[in-house]
Amino acid sequence: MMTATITREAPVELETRAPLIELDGVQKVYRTGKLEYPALRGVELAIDEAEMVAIVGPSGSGKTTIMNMLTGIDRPTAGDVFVDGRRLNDLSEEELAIWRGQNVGIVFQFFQLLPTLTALENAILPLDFARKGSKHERAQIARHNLELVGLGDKLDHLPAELSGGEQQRVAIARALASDPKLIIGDEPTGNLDTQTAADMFELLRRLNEEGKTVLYVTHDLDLAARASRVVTIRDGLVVGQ
Amino acid sequence: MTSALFKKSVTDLTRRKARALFAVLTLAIAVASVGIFAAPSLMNQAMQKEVQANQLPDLTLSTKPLVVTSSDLTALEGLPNVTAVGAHSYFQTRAWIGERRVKALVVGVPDYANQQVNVVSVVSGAAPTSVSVLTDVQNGKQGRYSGTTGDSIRIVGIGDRTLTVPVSGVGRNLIGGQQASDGDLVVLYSTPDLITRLGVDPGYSTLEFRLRDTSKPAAARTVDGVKSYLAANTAFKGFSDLPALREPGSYPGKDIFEQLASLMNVFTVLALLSALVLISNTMSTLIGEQRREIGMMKAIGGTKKQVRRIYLRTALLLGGVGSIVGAGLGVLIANAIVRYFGESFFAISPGFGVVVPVVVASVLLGLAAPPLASLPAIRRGARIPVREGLEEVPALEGSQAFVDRALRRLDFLPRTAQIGIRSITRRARRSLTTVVQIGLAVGTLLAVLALVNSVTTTTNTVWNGAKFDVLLNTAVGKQFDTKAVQIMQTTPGVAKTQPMLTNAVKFQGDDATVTGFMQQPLFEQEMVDGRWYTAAEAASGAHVAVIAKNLARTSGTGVGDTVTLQTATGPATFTVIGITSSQWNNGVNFYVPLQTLKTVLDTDTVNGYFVAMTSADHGVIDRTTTRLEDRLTENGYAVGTTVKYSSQEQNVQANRRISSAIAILGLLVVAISMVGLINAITMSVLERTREIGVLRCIGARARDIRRVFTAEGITVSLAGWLLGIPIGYALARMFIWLMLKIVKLEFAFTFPPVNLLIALGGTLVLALLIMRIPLRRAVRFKPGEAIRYA
Repeated sequence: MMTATITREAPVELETRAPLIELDGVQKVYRTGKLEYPALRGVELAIDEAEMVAIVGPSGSGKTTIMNMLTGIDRPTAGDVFVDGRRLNDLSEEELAIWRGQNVGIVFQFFQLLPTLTALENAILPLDFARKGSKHERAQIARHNLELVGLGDKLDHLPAELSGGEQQRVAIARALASDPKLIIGDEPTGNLDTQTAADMFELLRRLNEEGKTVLYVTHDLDLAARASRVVTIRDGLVVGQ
Repeated sequence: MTSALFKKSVTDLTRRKARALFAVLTLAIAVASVGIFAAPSLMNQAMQKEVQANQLPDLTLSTKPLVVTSSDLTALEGLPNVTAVGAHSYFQTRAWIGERRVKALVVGVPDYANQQVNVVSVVSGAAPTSVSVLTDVQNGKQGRYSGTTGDSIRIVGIGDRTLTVPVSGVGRNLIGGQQASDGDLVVLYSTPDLITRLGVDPGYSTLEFRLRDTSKPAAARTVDGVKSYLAANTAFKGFSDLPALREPGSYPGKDIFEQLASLMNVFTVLALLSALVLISNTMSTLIGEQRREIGMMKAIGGTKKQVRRIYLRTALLLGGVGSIVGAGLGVLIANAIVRYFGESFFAISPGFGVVVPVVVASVLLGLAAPPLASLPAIRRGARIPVREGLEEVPALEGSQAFVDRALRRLDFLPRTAQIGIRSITRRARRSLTTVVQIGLAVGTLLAVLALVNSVTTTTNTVWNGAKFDVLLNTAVGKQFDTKAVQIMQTTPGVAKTQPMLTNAVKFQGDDATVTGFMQQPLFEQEMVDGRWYTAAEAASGAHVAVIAKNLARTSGTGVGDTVTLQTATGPATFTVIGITSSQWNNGVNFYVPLQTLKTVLDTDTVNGYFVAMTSADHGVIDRTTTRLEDRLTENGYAVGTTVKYSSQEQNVQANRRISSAIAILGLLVVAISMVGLINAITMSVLERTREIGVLRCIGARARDIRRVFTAEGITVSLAGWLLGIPIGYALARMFIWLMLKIVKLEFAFTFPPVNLLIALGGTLVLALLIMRIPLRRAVRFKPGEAIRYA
């Protein structure tokens, strides 16, 4: 009778990487005159690189406020915000603006394109602010991003000459300008019809597959379900993820 | 409890405090400028008090020194139509102020305690005696002589007489003060005895009357009465000048002040226009950003009429606050103007006054202007359809219109500059009105600079025709005879002398001057029509005359016309043979052959001599002039001198002072336009707050934001500067026309290109400075607040 020798290999220790985003006890209180409104009451949240996360919750729950914390658009009243190893609390407004331009791509609900700039010019804008590369190189990058989002033939169109979906695509192309690790969308499909919203989401999903971390706020539960993770906010706290 | 609609009208103003403040401020400045209309009235009130205190004469008769006793004066006072009589002696001479010798006028008043007419009042110290003098308060104000009680002054007399007399105090007299202000001389008051001690023939040079009836016929009868009495009772040989009748209500210098006030009114109109444009802008923006509210109001039952009423009320509220502030400011400005001119020109301290009709008019204007200016915007706003107003997504701007496409070609500029420049067309109406405002300001500045230049150029041109260095004249005592000529011609430094004779006349009822020149005078005349008189005409005493252009224009006289001049000896008729461009004596001059004028005035002497020196050096001219004066006065001639280079400089300075006063008023318009620019940039920043937030979100730094709005502001300013050039040209032409109409002086039109650069530099520097305020606000927006801005 032969005895099998089972050789066990030593277990592989997985490298534990720090999350890309960390919110540590983040609070935010808005003060209007004598009134105080606590938008966030101590949020603890960690998001890893290349995740696709949907943030859901009822109106006034603090979803947009969390987004604003992650992008440095707003500062926490208490707690810390870390993005890619950087504590955003330590940065001045000016430093935050520069950091955003180079590290985060933001897609707004109402597109927020500059109406007097063409699609190409809107898509170049973050590179102009970051002073990255020559004019020609910036234009090439913007052109590439616009082709990526399917607008290669509408470079010279003004926002007024584009449909809502097309404008949102330009906004996404703009968000990709500096090749950021993190794409953040605040109701990115909120102003689009169903089909266009689906197309938009498909675009974001493709970007996520390419390794970008995508976070988006949405009211649409179907859309939320298509993310790899759903974080539920209620009354300024994370109640489910 | 106020209605909700009324509350909305109020809160619409208060929710954008900066904008409301600018609009109120601009309106207040414009309304305040209306206060300038009150200045002539206030000055009149102050001066009428002075006229009363001074007992200004209604009628002044000039004679060669005439001995008139107190009984004669009493008898003259008893003539029909005469209520009071005064008599003065005048001696035009020189006085020593330290090492400097200056022109001086000594006025002899017989009895300081009992003055009935043309009162010299003592401001400080004591009335003078026959061994002391009072110095006019204007001497110190004009910086010529600041002596006071206890000082002494050396006065040059006739012959070898020089008197050093103590100053007993400081005095004031309207006529004397005006002469001290205008005439570049030191005015001193004493008694006729002191004047006699200085070598002048005893007697009075002027008799002054206050009349019951100041009409011309009544005054003429009074003159005849005086003439008859004097001829019968004194050594009277005739008046030395035409009778001077003061118009009721007038006072020395009144014309100049009213002329200046008329010019100032031009700026009032410009300031108002500018303010109306700004308010129209403000209301346009206010209503424009309330599209959703208008849509909502209409959705819940508001009618167009009700919507219009809300915004009309807002405009009225704006007007109410602005007009009250402005009316108050206007009262202060008018009083400040009157105080400045009163103290500088008349040495009076006008009290504080309010001209109620002007205040009421300015308040009404301030109330009416904003609603009127807002009507187009209110009409547009009330017409916004409900659906359009309620749309969540704001309408996208940016178009393929020609201007937008042209601006997109500026891709060689930095992106931030491109964003700023392209934004101009997003609020085209507002941008255009801001450009117009700046254009008005630049145009005003250019016109004022051109006017200053024209005045200086013309003043210099007036003097450039003078080929003499000194004009000697004698007003009283011995006229220049052959002995005087010999003295002049043998004085070292004198190259050439030439006689002239000048006298006051009346032409078509107005004052003018007739001057007798040699056929080739040392005062060259540029002929614009006709010709100068020939040697034959000069030799034969022909009654031909050349008229100055200003006088020809205002009197409608042309070459070939016959004119009648009322002279001291009676009417004289001349044929006009030419028109000269000369502005000598403000251009109200006739030039006739010297011999002809001597015949007309029945004299064989002259009262003036042109003297050309051997050198143009100012030192040589001064020393030779002193020598001439000394030698002539030693020989009994009471000589006055006009030194060309010195008078030319003073003339230019005096005209510049007036031009500068006008320029300061022009700054009112500039101030309003700059407020307009701050307003436009501030509104642009507020409207694009969200956009600023987005830009900050995608990496824009503070300097990028500043560059966006700076580019917008500079472009608008440049466009305004361009527009200001034709406006300035037209305004400059208008000012020249106004000067001719009001001051009756034709200034040569100039529009130097260098002024365009000055205006450009000034516009850009001012624009950059004042934009700092709204830009500071723009970069301070936190992205989070900016994105949420509504």
